[in-house]
Amino acid sequence: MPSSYKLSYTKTDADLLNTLKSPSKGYWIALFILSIGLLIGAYGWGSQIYYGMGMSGKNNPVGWALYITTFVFWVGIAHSGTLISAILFLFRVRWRAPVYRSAEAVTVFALMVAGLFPLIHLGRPWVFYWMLPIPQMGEMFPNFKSPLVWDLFAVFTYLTVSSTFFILGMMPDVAILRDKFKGWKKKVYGLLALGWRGTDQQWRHYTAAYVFLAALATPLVISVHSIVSWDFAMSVVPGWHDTIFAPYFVAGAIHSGLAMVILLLIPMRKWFALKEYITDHHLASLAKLMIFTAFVVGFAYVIEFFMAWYGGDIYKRDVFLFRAFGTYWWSFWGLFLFNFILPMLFWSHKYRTSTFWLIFVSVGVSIGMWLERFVIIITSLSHEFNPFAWGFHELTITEVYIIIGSFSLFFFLFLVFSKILPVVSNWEVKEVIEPPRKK
Amino acid sequence: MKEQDLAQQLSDYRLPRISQQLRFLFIVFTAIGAIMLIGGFLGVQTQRVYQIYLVNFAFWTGLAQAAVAFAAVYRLTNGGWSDNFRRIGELFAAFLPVSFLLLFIILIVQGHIYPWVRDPSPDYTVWLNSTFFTIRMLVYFSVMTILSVYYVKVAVRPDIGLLKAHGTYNDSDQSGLTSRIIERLTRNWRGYEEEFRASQEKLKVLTPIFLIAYGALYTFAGIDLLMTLDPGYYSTIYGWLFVISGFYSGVVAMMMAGYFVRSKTSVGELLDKTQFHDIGKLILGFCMFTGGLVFSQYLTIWYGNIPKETGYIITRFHEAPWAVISTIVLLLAYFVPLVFLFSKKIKQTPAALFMLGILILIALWLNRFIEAVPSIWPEMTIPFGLVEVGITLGFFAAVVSCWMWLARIVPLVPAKPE
Repeated sequence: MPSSYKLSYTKTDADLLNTLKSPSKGYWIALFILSIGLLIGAYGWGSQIYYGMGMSGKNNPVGWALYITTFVFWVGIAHSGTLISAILFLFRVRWRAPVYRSAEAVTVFALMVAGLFPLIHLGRPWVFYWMLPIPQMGEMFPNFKSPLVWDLFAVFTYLTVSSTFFILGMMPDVAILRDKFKGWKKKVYGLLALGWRGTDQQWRHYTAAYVFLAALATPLVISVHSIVSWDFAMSVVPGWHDTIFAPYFVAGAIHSGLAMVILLLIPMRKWFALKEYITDHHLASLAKLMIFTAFVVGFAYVIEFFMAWYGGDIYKRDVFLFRAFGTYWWSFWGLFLFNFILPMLFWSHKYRTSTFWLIFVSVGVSIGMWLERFVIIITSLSHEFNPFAWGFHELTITEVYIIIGSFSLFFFLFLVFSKILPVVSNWEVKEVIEPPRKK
Repeated sequence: MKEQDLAQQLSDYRLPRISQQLRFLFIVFTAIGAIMLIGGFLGVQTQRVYQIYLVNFAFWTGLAQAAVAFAAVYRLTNGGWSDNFRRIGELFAAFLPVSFLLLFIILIVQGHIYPWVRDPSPDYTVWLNSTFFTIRMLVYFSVMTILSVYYVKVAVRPDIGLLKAHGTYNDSDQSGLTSRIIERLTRNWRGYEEEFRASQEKLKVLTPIFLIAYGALYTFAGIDLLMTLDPGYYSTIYGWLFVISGFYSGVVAMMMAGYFVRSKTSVGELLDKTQFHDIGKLILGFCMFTGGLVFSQYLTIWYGNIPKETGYIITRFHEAPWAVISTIVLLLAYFVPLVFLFSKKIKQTPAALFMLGILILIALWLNRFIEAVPSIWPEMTIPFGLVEVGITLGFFAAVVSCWMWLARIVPLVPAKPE
């Protein structure tokens, strides 16, 4: 939307520097609160390591509980970044320019947080490297038939590619910072700019590499969450073993990722005075994408129920009835309301351009997507084949601490990022605004 | 550009009358198809006729509907990729009313096709019940046909009106059905600018409704048409796979139709290398996407190894005689396009894309074949011969004739970009 911008090249450079000025009091307060959250999380994990796994609510039969739920939640959040930065780039969608940098940061930080959860979930997190195919004492070697091992590779590949994409995308902007600052800051930014001078040859290589990485990252978006879904679908647990899981998880991941990007962009554009960059049009475009993802996930819920009934398998039918009307009924109806019904508000132009409603729906979708993973994991495990083996998850305060810690860590990282690196891609915004010329 | 000139240019964008030989060929194809079908009614190879009729119905209707839906996706997303193919996709709507009529044959002979109609069993849920099945089928296809035809009507009205207002339809267009349709399409004409605005307003509302209906109804149509052939089998991804593989065939069909008209009208200059390059990328995307879904269905079933599900893929992927067909499908629909379409040169060469398109469509047709036939064909041989070829040619001729008939009325590229 080039015509909707009233920006000049000089102004974008100045605004870029402005976002990196000394932070306000509010920023420090937010950072302080998040640090407390982090400490709470660290305490939770520490006490779990010290006293043992009994501190978590996991039990038999619910051996996967809130940690894996939260792991899948964060991996899901990580998806919007690559969707917006890589897929929309390949599709030449111009409105992505000012929003993609933050979306990529979401990807990288969410993956870092997600990566902690399988470790937290382990009884002995210090031997996590047993998952890796390296020769060890005792001749342990990972079982490559296990989806958990696929998952490890998928998440690490995704983290590597998305971090590379993130750092590469920032090079020209960081080079501007290098030239504007002096002293140690110049050195640090100089290191990140990787010798960027902006010559023709560099741009030629740069744009080629950018397209290449975007094309590489795109199938990864699909593959990572497909593989996460196969952690469940490969089993024969009723409610997990479903062929639809891969696309259904990918759509859900993008759904939650979009919500998180909206949630971060709105305060950011206010605090950093970026209203001219991130306009209502951009937020409304994200909201429209959310209508689409809401339909996909909503429809997947319907198909799952339909097939459970149509297929005639008594165990499967029973699990689905349990989901809707059993102990955890509130989580199922909650997810349906939050993930499907609530985003329907965005059909109206009024709602998708209103800051309040954008935040409201995005918070709703974030809760809903967490609930979705809760429903999938916990209702299925607590109500498997044999009624004698049924059992429920019992929430403990340690789990709550750790989840608080994970949210704090994510927002903490994002807040730190927003003050040391450019949150809006300066060079790509320059590509979509009117070039300076004599009137 | 003045309206008069615009109308003249648009008129050149219509498909000219096709050659006598080609028309004769299509008539022969249709006749062969009809003869085979009548033969089936009279008891000659009844089972083979009906099952291949079902395969073709699912394939061609899915293809035509997907092409129209794809055009709608362009509109919804303001898509700029190969957008000159959009109208070419919309014209496939011409086949849908015909397809709706062809559906009645399936409904009439459903007892020969669907085992649960022949032998109802209390084990089956109420879903597998002849009356309910008939009602559902009528709902899916009537709703989608009406929506599609209305959608295309709204989209093409400004162009048709412009042509008619400037008298660019010649005498051969003024006769019979064609003239009546032009007349109906342009009733209450209010001038091009006004009509264009009105059409855009209407499409804004209509497009999302159309696409949601398509996604929902075709998912279940796929399940009902093909998955229920084996009443013991179910797979949650089945309906989506039906829609997405239909989409894949629809995009390929649009590309092929574009190649076909390229040399015949002045639209050729609008369908240039870059347009083919972009649609080539889309085809590559759908190749990977559909292949990914096929893989995730296969992997989940293989890994879970539950008898009720696993029989379905063992029959199709691992046992004679069907494994050969599955292998061909995997090669031609997923591996070959994947390898070739990575090349920029091939994507920019329309003739090469067209050849690849033929392979893909054959593979996707075989895909429908392998989904349907092993569930109901009792013998250990692949039923493929004159009957199958004949019925398929009949359907092919019907789709192409409908498309060409509409392309002679409606310009292949809209007067105004949206």
